[in-house]
Amino acid sequence: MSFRERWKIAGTIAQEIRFNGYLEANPSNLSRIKEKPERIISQIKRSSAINSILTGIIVLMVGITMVASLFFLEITGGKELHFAISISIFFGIGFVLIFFMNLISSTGFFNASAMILPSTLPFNKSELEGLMLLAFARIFIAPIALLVVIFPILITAIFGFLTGIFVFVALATTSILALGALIRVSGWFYSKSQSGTESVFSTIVRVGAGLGMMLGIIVSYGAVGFIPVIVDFIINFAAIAGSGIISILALIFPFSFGFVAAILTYGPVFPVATMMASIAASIAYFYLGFRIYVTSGRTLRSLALGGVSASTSSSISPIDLIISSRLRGLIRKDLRIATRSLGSIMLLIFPFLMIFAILPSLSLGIITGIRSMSVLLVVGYATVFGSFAMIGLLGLDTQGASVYEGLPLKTSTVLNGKIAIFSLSYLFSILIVFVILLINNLTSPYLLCIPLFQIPCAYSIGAAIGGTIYKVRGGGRATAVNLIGDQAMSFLALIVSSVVGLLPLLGYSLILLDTGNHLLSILTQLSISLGEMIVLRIALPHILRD
Amino acid sequence: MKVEGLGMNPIEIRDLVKTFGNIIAVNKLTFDVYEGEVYGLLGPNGAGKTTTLKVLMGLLDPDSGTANVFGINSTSNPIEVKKKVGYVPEEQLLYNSLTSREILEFVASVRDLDYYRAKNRVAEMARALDFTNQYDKPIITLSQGNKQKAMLLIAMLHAPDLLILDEPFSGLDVRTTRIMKDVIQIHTEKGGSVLFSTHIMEMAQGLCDRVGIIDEGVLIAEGTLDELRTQSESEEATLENVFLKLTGEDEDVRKGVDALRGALDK
Repeated sequence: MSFRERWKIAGTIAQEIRFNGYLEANPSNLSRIKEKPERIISQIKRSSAINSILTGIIVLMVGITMVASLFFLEITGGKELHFAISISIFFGIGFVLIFFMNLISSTGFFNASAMILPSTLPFNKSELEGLMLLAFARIFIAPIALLVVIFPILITAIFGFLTGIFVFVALATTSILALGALIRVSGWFYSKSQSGTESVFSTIVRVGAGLGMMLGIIVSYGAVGFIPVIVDFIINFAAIAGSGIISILALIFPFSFGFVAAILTYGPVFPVATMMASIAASIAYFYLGFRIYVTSGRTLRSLALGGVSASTSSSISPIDLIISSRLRGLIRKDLRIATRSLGSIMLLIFPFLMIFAILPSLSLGIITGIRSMSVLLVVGYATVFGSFAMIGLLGLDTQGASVYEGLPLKTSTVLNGKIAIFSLSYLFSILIVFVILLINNLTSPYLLCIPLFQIPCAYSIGAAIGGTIYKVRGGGRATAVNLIGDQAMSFLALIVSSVVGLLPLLGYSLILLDTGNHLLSILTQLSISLGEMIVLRIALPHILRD
Repeated sequence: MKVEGLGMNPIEIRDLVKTFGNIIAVNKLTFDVYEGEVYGLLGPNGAGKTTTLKVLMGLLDPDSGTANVFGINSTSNPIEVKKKVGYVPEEQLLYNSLTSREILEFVASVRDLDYYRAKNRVAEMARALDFTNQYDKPIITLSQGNKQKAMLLIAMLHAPDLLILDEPFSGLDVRTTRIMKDVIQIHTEKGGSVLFSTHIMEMAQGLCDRVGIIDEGVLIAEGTLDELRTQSESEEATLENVFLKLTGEDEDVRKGVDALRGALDK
């Protein structure tokens, strides 16, 4: 079979993998897929294209920032070390980009029936392995091609052909290492998420892994703007710790590649030990990349066809049940569903992620003192966008209608369960803001109260969104909505949460503008947020029905 | 056992009307299900069977009329109705990522069941349904038959007096079908009642004490098989023939078969 034919088959398989990965990440689409398949397929295509474009833009931005910093930034430690560390950071970001940006789509590989059909066709084992690797590579071909091509061209144009070629090979190796890590980690996560055995520890592991993965994405985006700072920090650290540390650094991926690239550009400018360490380590990483390339097809075949082990024990456990109160039962059920897929975990930790996305705005006032405007911005941002977590939680039950329909569950109990989970998530993110404010200079100590006095909004936002959606979509009964599919509801929920969440902050702002009195302002904020909570507690039973 | 007087029977439906826009799904429907009885609600697709069951469960509001379960009104008090009923809906929409154990834990918690009674009931039922080795597997990995067993476990966990089953035999293999039939029979032997909808005539003929035939939302016939034969004036006929005659579909079916025979001859 020619490469062209294999490439074509791999494309079909890749499309199926993307499809399954997308459904895995958006569980609420499972029930919609039969209704409007063409819409979901177009969403998947759009999302893949956006991923590639985004990767291309980030690669360009990182590359340009890094090259510009070499010429325009005054960083201690000499331009050779500066070059080596900057290049290394680029390799590191490349690794993280490939790994994190494709993690969700790659989990679809392991539950995909995509590989079952090719396995029934007349391919031998090695052809099948090659096909799988090709299908896996096709999913990520656009971002990898952008990464491996754009930057080496830039480097060749500025630093010469030899450095350019080395950077190209090192980036190709970095991509293979990232894909290897991706295959293993996504396979592990899928097996954990589908594991039949359940313990608090395994839930913590899953949530922790999901959180780490999502934070990885944010950190990799955020790191772009901080490259000069990171480079400066590493160089300063190396200068303080001595040349021994630089040699140790030269042994570690991706710094080994950075040092070799610097040697090829500037000649033997580093101590012999550093140069030897970087060259030996680079060879080792090239070999590791080659081994991963050779064995990845086999690993993929065993994972995709042999199936990921969904159980840690082959023995049948005795029949048992853990029975708790209604509310705890509901919360436990929602937490279990929410932590079984990366898409659901994303919903759960959304307020937390929003805090990380907006936190840099606080850094503006770290020296002079953080102003109320910055605090209001961060708390307001987290409040409004965090509400997506509540909509996501309401969507978890799209799969379980058959269970719900027969249960004697009050709508208010169902909603209270969702509000409890949302509140925990929201509270955690608000407390992060509080801790950051606590350890920094503030223009007024009363600013510390802004996140604390926003806490009642956790209930108000949850109740307002739940009440609105249940009323509009379910006539007052508990109903499941789809964050992506039911965009009208999502938009309505966003408006409701904006009104409920921002009203206390608006009250604070208006009183502060009018009186200049912080104490009066925060008391206004507290009054409004408590008032909203009381009003919603009274109104909710009249909105909901069983 | 038939009990006279409103509010005494497991199910009492009176003059039930439910419309969806211009479509009348259920039209002036009236029937009872007695204690210890298996009642089959028969009808072609779109006849209004599922709508009737959903109104009974308090999942849909009727336009007029009443649906009572053990004297409790389904519309005004659906929570109390659901406490007394084990319901298996037609669609198998379970939480794919959860195991049966996790779903049953959720159900037992919501129903506030006693730990030992619930545990023993699950253990006995899982053994009887040959479900023990499926208990800790995620729902997504289960076959359709095993999913149906999981739904049956969920519906019967609280030992309900009344089972409401919507098309319980659709897509089941021979073994699971037999298990479902046995479950229904054992349940009624112990004094429970069953209302189930189906369009599989053999099931209704073999299982039901009485059947109600519903077409375009209207109950066109009701009674035991003998009573229905009398109503349709077709002695010795099977329930299928009685059904086709009463719903006026026998002539359509005959014409369709003739046309098919002609097409296949060419």
